[in-house]
Amino acid sequence: MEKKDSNPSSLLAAAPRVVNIGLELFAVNLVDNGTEVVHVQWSPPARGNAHLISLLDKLRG
Amino acid sequence: MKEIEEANQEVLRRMLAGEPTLVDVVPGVQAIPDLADHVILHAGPPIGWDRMCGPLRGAIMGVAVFEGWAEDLDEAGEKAAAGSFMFHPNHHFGAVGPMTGLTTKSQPLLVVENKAFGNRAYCAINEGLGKVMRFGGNDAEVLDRLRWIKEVLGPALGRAVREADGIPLKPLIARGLTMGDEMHQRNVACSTLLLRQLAPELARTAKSTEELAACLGFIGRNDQFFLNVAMAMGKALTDPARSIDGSSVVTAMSRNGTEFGIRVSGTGDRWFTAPVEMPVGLYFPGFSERDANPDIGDSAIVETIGLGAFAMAAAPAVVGYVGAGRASEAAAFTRSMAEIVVGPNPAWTIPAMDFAGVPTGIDIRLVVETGLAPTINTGIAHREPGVGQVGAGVVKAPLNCFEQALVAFAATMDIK
Repeated sequence: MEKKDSNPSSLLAAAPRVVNIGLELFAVNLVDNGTEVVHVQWSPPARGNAHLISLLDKLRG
Repeated sequence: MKEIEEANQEVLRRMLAGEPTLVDVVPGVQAIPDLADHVILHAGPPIGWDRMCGPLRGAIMGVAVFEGWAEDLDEAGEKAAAGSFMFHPNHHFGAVGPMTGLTTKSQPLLVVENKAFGNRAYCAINEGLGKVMRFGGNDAEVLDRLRWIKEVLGPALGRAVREADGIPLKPLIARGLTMGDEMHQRNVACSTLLLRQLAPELARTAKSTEELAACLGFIGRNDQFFLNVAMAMGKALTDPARSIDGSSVVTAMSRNGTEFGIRVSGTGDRWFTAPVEMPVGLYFPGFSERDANPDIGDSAIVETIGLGAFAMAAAPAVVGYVGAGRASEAAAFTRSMAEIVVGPNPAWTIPAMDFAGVPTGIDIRLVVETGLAPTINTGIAHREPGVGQVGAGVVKAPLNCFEQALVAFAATMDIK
């Protein structure tokens, strides 16, 4: 098993490493403040529309 | 579903198997016999005068004067409002047109034949940038240019294309993609390559040195001359892919300045429409987004076949022109569009992406699932009639079109 860093102070001492998923504005704000961010474009399938998701499941099945 | 995957592969096969060739330039009525007096074909899905935007109305008033159906612009507007003209989408007659996209009986039309399937598609000749009819321009300068295109350039191009025994377009596009064109907002390379092929034939068939010089000069000054050829090619490539049962692939995307419309192979020639969006881009000096009309034109046919914004990685220079970010971000557009298509086109590749094929065959299922709307590179017209182009930008296809299409497509598969 991978050894975890058990010293919480190192998390605060080091520069943050950020993966942002979804709302891009969070990533933009961090970048604007000099933080390195990997942004992952993500949104709920079919904009969260349950009927469309059901149709997609059947059409992709 | 296996049935859908097979149908989509068949649509992609047809799109890729096409052999589009520019074979002629002829008067509109010769290409499309239905183009009688007072018949006006326009860009986008069907729309009546009452719901048309400013530039489309402006162009219609101009073309009515050009065709001799009205004495002046005021009379043309009155006649249009009174129902004297019959309006139909270009797409219903095998044609396409950029921006307002008007097609009428006297305008010379580029004729592209898909030699693999035997079908033909048509598009008027590009008028250049700025104040032109396709952007809603309609003053004397615009109409004089249209008359010159009708009387001089169209016939000269027709003679040259016939003398050349046609210009195969697939290899020309392949070359243009390696020279920085994406064939929607950047056609510098392809316009030049086409002129290089046609120049000897133009010279050989010219009626005078002055006429030859005027034709060469007009084409040579117009970086977007090839756009209309690419559009007719797009229509010629997509028409054989229409009406394949079980296919969820888009066969047309088009805008009339009020609505955005798409057609899907498995649902035949039905339009799925939603309010068109406003382009985001850069404006010519003196203009801003306050002057802009919502997106308009049949030109999204080039994105439908994997070019335009789908091939943005081939044309980093265009990213700056349309105000879509840094040149280094061009590849992100192409990668993103690759997520919503059936597959790449191995005949049209992008050097900067290790010669990956342009993403081709938009699958409405993937668009709806991912929420990734097709991106389109576009010109921006002034919202008022008669002004013309004020900028260039990018626009997203409205997701609502694809969601409606998905529900209708599912119904054709007996899925509710």
